[in-house]
Amino acid sequence: MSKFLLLAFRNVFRNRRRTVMTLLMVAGGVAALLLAGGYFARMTHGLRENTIRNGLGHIQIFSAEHFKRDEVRVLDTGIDNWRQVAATVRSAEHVRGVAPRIEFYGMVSNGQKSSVFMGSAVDPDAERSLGFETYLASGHDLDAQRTGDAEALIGTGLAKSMNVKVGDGLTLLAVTSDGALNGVDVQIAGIVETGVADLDARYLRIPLDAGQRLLQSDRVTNLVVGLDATANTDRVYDELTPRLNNGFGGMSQQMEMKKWIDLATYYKQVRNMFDGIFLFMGIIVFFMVLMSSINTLLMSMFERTREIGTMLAMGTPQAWIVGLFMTEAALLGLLGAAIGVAGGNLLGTVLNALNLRLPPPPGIAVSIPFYVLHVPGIMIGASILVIVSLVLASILPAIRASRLRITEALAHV
Amino acid sequence: MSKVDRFLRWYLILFAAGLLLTCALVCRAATPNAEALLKQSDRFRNGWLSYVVHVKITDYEADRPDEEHLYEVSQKGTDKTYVEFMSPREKGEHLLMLGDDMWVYLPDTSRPVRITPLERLSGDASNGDVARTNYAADYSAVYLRTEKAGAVECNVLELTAKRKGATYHRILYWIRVEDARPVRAEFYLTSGKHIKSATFDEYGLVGGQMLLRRLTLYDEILHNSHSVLEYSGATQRALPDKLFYQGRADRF
Amino acid sequence: MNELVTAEAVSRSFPLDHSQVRALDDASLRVSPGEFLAIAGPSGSGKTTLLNLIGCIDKPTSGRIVFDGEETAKLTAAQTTALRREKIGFVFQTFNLIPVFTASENVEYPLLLQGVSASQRRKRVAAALESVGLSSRATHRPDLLSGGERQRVAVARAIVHRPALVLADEPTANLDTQNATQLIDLMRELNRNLGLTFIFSTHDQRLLEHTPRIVRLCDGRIVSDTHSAAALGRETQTKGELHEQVFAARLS
Repeated sequence: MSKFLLLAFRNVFRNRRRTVMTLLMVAGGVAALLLAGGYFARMTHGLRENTIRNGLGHIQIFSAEHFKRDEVRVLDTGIDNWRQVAATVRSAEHVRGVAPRIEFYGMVSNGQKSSVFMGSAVDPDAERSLGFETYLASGHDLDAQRTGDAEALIGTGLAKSMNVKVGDGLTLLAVTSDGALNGVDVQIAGIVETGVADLDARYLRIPLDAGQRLLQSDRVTNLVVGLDATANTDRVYDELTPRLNNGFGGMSQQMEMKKWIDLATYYKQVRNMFDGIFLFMGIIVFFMVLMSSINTLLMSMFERTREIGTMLAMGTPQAWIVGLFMTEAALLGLLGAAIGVAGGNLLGTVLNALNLRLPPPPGIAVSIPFYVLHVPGIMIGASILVIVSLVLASILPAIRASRLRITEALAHV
Repeated sequence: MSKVDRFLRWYLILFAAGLLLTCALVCRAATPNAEALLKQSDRFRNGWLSYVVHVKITDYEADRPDEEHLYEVSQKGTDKTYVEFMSPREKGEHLLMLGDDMWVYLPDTSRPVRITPLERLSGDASNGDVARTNYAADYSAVYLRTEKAGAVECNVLELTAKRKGATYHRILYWIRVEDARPVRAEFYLTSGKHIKSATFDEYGLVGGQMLLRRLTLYDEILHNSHSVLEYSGATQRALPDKLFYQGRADRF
Repeated sequence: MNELVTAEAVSRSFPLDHSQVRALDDASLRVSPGEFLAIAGPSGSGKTTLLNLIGCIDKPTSGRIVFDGEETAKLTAAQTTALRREKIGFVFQTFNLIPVFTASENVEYPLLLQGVSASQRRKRVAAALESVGLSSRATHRPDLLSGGERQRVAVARAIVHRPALVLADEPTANLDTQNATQLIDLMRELNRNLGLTFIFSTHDQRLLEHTPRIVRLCDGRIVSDTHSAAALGRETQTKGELHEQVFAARLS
């Protein structure tokens, strides 16, 4: 059998020029998939880590009620005994920290003009310990220990509309957890640029205790859990689930946990989009390789008509002829894929070193660096794709070859 | 022609002319002056140029009483209103209307928050329902028709907002034919949406003036709530301008 | 003596436009094992067709071929393939070697088809190449060999698996006269030494001089089938003649 493999291998190189063309095409397709896939992988990976580090965290804990209905009053679906829950969660392995959050909205006024804000009240130290960064255009992050007016971070759009800078004061107005109006003065500690214009126009962040005073409540909307590595998400989730089910130490309020992937709708949309594009590209490469290969394989079959006739005359089973052709195609695919993988990786490394930048996509303010990841899965996948495509392309010529009428084949030029 | 004939002809002509003239006069006089009627109707809600009145607002959710709020409204002219929140939980808060602008002042804060008249004050009552009751200042009126509202013969006026501080874009206003007393109203937004209706339920003699004692506002969007505003203690009072000071909250 | 292969009134027609062409018409032939015979005739006389039928790479339109006691028409495709694999060796006018294989690899091919072990293959290939005098060219690819050498490799390939029958269709047509005669002599030698039956076709009269049996075709029909006593030589006497000679010797 190895002799037949040898025969297939040598046959591949019979027509040098044609083989090189086919190899280049196959390698090109594989390399293109590698680069595109590597770029998408980098984007989704970057987006994933960004999303998590932007404050989504790895796991979030809510009250079960939160998902069953909307708030009637602020924090009426909040977590009651959050400190106890946080303490229990913190004790689990791989947990880096737990950050309490209150999500609320209200009006902010500079005395002349009011604007709506969508805000959060956070524990600045907890947020920092989990590595959650806020992108400050000016000023500094919140300082929880402060006398006097509470500090606040506002978005660039909001700062502009309120015509304030760092150090100025604003008044917040919100409806409390019992439906009354309440207000608090804050001092601008920093101005945040999220990169998304719509968010910047409404962004507000104050310390947790200020939020609780404003809203007259001890509760929090959710607890954000940060882990030491994203890969541990499932493990920690599974470990915390039984604890959650018996109320984190006997609390009556029903809780629910969500993994980051369940909450990262934007990330999922982006990832699905990239996956879709990549799949589409893969289909294109597959069919291109298939269509162009059928022709070249048919040609080489015709050229070997007499030879095939001889082999059949000598008693070669038809199946062996089919196998020979399909093996040749597979070898071609393998070789092309190997060249493509090597070439694609090399090209990727070179492109990475060049530190290119691409113009910003819609909704984002900064340009994106062009960087590709080397993903073994894509290398293997793309290789298999082209090999299968070639083998499929060879089926028709192979069967035709095996069914040649010996007398006619022998009489062929 | 004989003298009798000439006399009769002249008499006929004069008679016809006189009839026409009388008709014209009568007809013109029969079309009511909408603007005047509107001004007249405002007197039932604003008894004096400068006065104070207490308002109790009871909010009903699906016909069950839900919450109660108390306010003291001080009004000077048609452009200055000061509303003090009297409920124990809202102590220290007040609302200020100056011309087209409105602010809410919260205790322990150093600056007011700008609000709009359409925003909710309590239940189905908007800020404007309590602070902007001089419709003649805010709306231009057009007479539509006369019809019965219940058992009462009313003039129906169409009010359209004529300044940006007006609470609603359009109001359909039923006022009694005999004295322009408000009977009911329908309130419409800029989009044309019928957002609220009001019935002016009770009137009483206070300090020599016939004034509105009870008003009910009905939500026309979800149809499951209404608010009852009860007016009491209306007195004429001279109010100083510094009451309507817009600046920082620590004003006195 | 059992016949190796028999052709019984075989005809082969090919469709041409709307009619048929009779390439072979009612041909009958009996070949015994160990024979060395030529099929002669001008081009178009049906030589290739007859060889194809005998070699089981074509089927007759009428009549039958019996190979080694089996009627070929009754064999399945797989059985026919197996028959050719084991019992027949082919030599072609255009050599038909696999260009990417070396001489010894080409010769090895029939053994590969039969699944012979590597060591056995090596031995037999070496022996076959030696018997055609090309041991020195074992590692050469066909493009490095002369025409005569290529055909000898083909012959080696045709005999390496010791088939019962070797068929050669115009094996010398692409060789010069010297190589041609040498080839026929080589085949004759192999026929004598290895006892393999050889049937070859040719239109060249000169090659027929030392051929013991000649079957002549003309327009698809066998016109003569002669055993040439002169060409037989000392070694290939028929049984009858030998008897005569001994008897004659005894008599004298």
